[in-house]
Amino acid sequence: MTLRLILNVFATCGTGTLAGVLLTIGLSFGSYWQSLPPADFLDWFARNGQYVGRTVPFALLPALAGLVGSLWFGWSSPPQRYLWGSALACLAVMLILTAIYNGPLNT
Amino acid sequence: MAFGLAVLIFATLFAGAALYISLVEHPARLGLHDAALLAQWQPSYNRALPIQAGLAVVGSLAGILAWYSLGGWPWLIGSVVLAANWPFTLLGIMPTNKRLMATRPQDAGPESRALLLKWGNLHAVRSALGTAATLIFAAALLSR
Repeated sequence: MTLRLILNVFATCGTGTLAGVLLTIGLSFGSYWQSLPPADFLDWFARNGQYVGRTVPFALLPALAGLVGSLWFGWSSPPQRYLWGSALACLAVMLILTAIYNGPLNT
Repeated sequence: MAFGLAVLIFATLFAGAALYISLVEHPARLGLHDAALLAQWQPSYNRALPIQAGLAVVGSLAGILAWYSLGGWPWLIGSVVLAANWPFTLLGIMPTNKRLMATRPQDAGPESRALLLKWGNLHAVRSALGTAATLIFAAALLSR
C-alpha cells in the first residue's frame, strides 16, 4: 500500500460519493424543490439547508485532498496528469459555480 | 488498478445517493405536515428507485468481474454486500413501500407518518450496506 494509492482511493471515494449525492438531488429531490412556490422553497431551504451543509463536506474534503494528491503523484505520467487534472478541474468548476451562483441564491 | 477504481466508483455512487437520502432528504421531509410529507415521498421514491437499483446491480456485477480478473475475496464479498440491497429491499422494505404508495396524500395522517419513520430506519440499512461495500472495495484496492 502506497500513499499514492491511498490518495487515489480517497479521490475516487470522495468524487463518487459527491456524484451520488448530486445525482439524487438532480434526479429525485430537485423535482420536489421545483414543484414548490418560490417563497415555500426559500422557507424550506432556510429551515433544512443545514442538513446539506453538514453532509457535503464529508464527500468534498476527501475528494479535494485525494485529487490534489493524486495529481501531484501522477504529474510525471501524461495520462494520469490529464485524467486527475481533468477531474480536479471539474470539481473546481463545480465549486466556483456554487460560490458565485448557488451560494448567493441560497442565502 | 483502473478496473478496481471503476468498481469503487459504482459503490460510492450508490453509497452517496443512499447516504444523502438518509442524512439530508428524509430528515428534512419529516419536517413537513403529514399530507405534504407523503406527497413529497411518493414521486421522490419513484425517481430514486431506478437509480439505486441500477447502481447496485452494475456495482455488484463489476465487483464480481473484478474478483474474477484481479483475484481476492474482498471483491466478491463487497459485491455480495452491495447486491444484498436487492433482497433486503424486496423482502424488508417493499411491504412498507406498498402501503405508503397505496395511501393518497389527502388520507395521510399519524399512520402514514409512522410508516415513513419506519421507512427511514429501513433505508438506513441500505445506506449502511452501500457504505460497507465501498469500504470493502477500498480495502481490496489498497491491499493490492
